[in-house]
Amino acid sequence: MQWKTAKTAVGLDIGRYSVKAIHLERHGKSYAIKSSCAFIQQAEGLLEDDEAELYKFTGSWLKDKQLSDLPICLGLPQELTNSQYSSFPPNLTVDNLRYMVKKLTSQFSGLSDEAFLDNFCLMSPVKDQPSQVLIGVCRQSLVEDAYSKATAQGLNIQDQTMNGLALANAFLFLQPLQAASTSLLNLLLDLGTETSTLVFLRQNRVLGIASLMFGASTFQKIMATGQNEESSPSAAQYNPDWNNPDAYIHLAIKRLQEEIDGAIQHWLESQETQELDSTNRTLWISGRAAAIPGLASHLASAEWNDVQLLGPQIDDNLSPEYTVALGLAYHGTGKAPLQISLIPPLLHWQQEKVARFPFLAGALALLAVVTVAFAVWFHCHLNTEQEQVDDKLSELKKCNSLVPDLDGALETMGYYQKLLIPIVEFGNRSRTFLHACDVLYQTRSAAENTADDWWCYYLSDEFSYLDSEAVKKQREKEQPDKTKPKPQPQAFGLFGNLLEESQEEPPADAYIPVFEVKPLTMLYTAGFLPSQSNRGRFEDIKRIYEDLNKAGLFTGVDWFSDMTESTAPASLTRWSKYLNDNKGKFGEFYHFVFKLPLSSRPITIPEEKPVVLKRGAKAAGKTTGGKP
Amino acid sequence: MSTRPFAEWPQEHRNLLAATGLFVVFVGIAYFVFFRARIQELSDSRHTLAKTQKKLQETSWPNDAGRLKRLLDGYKRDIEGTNTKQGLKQLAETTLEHCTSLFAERIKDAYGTDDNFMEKASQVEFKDEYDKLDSYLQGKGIFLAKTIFGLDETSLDSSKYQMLLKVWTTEKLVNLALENKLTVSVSFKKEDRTGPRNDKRGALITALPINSYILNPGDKQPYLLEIPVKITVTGNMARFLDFAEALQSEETFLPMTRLEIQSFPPGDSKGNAEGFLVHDRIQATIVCSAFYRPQGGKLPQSSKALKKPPLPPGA
Repeated sequence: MQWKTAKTAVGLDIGRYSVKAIHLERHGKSYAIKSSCAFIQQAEGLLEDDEAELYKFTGSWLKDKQLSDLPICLGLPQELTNSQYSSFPPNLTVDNLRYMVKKLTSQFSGLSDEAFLDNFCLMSPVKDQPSQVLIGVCRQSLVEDAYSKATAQGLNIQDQTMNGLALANAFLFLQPLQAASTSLLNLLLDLGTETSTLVFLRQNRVLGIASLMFGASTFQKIMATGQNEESSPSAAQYNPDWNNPDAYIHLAIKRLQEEIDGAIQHWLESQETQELDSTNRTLWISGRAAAIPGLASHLASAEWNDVQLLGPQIDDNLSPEYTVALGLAYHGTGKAPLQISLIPPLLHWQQEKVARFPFLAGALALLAVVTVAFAVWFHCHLNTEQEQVDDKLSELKKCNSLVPDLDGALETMGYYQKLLIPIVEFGNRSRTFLHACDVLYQTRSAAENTADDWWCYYLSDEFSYLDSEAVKKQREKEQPDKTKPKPQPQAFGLFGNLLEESQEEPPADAYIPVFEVKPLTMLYTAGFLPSQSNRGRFEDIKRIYEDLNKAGLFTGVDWFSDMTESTAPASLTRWSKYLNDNKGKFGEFYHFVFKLPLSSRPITIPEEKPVVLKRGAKAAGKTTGGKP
Repeated sequence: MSTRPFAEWPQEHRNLLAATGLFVVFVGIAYFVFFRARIQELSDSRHTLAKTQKKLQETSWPNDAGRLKRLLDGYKRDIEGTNTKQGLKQLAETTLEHCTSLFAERIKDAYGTDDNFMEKASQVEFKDEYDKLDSYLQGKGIFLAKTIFGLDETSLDSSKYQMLLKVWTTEKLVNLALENKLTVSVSFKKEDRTGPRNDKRGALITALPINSYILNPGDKQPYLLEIPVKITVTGNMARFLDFAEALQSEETFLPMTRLEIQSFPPGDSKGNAEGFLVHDRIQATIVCSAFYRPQGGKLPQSSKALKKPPLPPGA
């Protein structure tokens, strides 16, 4: 149990005479006393200086009261701590203030070999006014000793502070209007057993804390002297005779007044402003001795105007002995206006961590939520992805199952198309030839400028032209070394008749694959055109060329330069001679010769992929289906 | 925080650390229980998908089953045809049937079946047919010269039926030319003289070598024979055009595979009204081919050797 909560807190005031505890709990926006308890050490048989036994008993006592597990704020005797009221430049940040306070307190630390704990409280800062800071300093060993003794007994110590500050917080809790008053200086006096604490408070600000070497025990001693009794009654039980001017109580009161006056004078001397000299002052007394009947009314002095009892209402009774415990509880809630926690570094570290715990928990919760959200998203994503992949896979499997059928269908189509290749190619040639004749006729008839005065004397397909005797002869002239086919020896039949060369069944590689059927791509034509005196030689030829190109059957009609006099058909010679002989009658004629590439073909042969020769294959250029 | 021992940590921080540890363990367990197997399954599926996709990409078909199905249906329709449209299969069969049936009746009458024709056609029958053709043509004033025609009754060939086909094709072609009033030209070369007294000019008719077509390289048997015959005819253009049309009719399929038309100047030149030349006499050297299926009506087996069809896929 290492954390404190703002909801509830227990203030534990371990005095030399008694131990008091108050359980403060939040109700709405304010706090209320839930329970209180106290025990007198002597009554419980505890020795005065046996602190270990005291803490042990306190631990079990609080467990019995079911308060040990609640966050406890433990009071530190004021006389064992040091407090200082200092002014710093205005508008400092908290970090700068902390740094400057550290510097200041290090001067205290420098005076001793011991380690000190310090903390500070900024008094209601006012803009552009010096920062008024109350600094608390205490020996670390003292704090850790009290903390370890208490925690060793199972107490959930979450805070420790000076009893003087607890007194101030109790006043702020009980008398908020008085505390906020600007015209009133409140003197808070807690009468302890051995010592007392005097707090100067004005306008919710602690202006100083002083320790008085006067306590309830002094009352007892004085009263015991007067009564010559070995054991005097406790201060609370004492009922003095105020009417007797010789009563020792007046001596004790006088002594207390002198102590308070001295402390006030000392405090006033330390103040820079003289304004406080004339301020109305009210003395608030608390502690066990404050309960002495008539004490408040007889504690009048020139230094203060009024004397009041300060303490919480417990069981409808004003209980000034619980004032410090109340202030501690209020401090323990963390909501008190004056906060100076003097706690061990470990507890401080833990409290810092606990204070930031919601952020850590939030971050981890966010991480967890993000992780879970991611897991959910990832789960959905996996499902979606799997579905998509399955769908695609199913689609592809369907495709794969269809591919053999498609390939088969294409193969079948290819098969039937291949069957028809020779038929389609050769069957269309007649139509092409007749169409060409028709185009030539139409072109001649449609010619506007040339009229029908030109004619073709030659029309041939590319194969017929190349196989014509004139072309063959020209080829032989150009390639005289080409070996002529050897004449086969003549054979004679059984009865001496001359047998023709045996025509054996052609070998399989002499067959013609259908893809090697040569398509008809070109026609050639030649003709004559009468010369016109008013036009150039090629002007009319160009018009014929243009008309043939427009006809649609041909594409890229052009002059056929390969047809020369030596490769021209036999009819050219006869026409030339005839026209020369009759030049006087018919005039002069120009000869023209065109190649007529066909614009379309009846079949389209797919291009075969080149065959990749295997390594080491000698037959370079070997392809599939070589021409026989 | 790390500089402090764990025991000094605030209890709630320790609880939070424990909770975080438990959460991490839970996440780890959840990963192994819920996700690992599914991630592996997804990875396997993706691997299979990539493999299948690659396999399909190699086929160059699109990755769309619906489209493939439509393509397949379209191809099937193209092959088998519909109620209103003839399919490719039927078209090929009927076309082949029509184009190769020029001598079907003759073969059926004489041999019954194509197999019989191919097996039983003999040299005697060839001699007889050649002699009949020669006599018939001589009656029409046409004399076949072996130097031009390439055949006579002494010719030998291992495939007798092919010799018969050449004779029949020549007979059909010459008949069509004569029917269209064309004159078969003759050779004026001395070596082309023929006749009993070698005083007749040989007709320009040549039985060219038969072309045997196979579907794929390496096929052992041709599925189609082309029987080309070259003939040179003379006449006017109109008669030649009629002759050309007659070569491809409902009963006849003797397409011109080559053509060379020449016109010659008239022996007696004459002009028209405007004094220009008029001429209408042509000489055409053509090659016409008859077709015959050696396997009769049987279609050759589809070969797997050629992967690519003549038409590119419609995809």
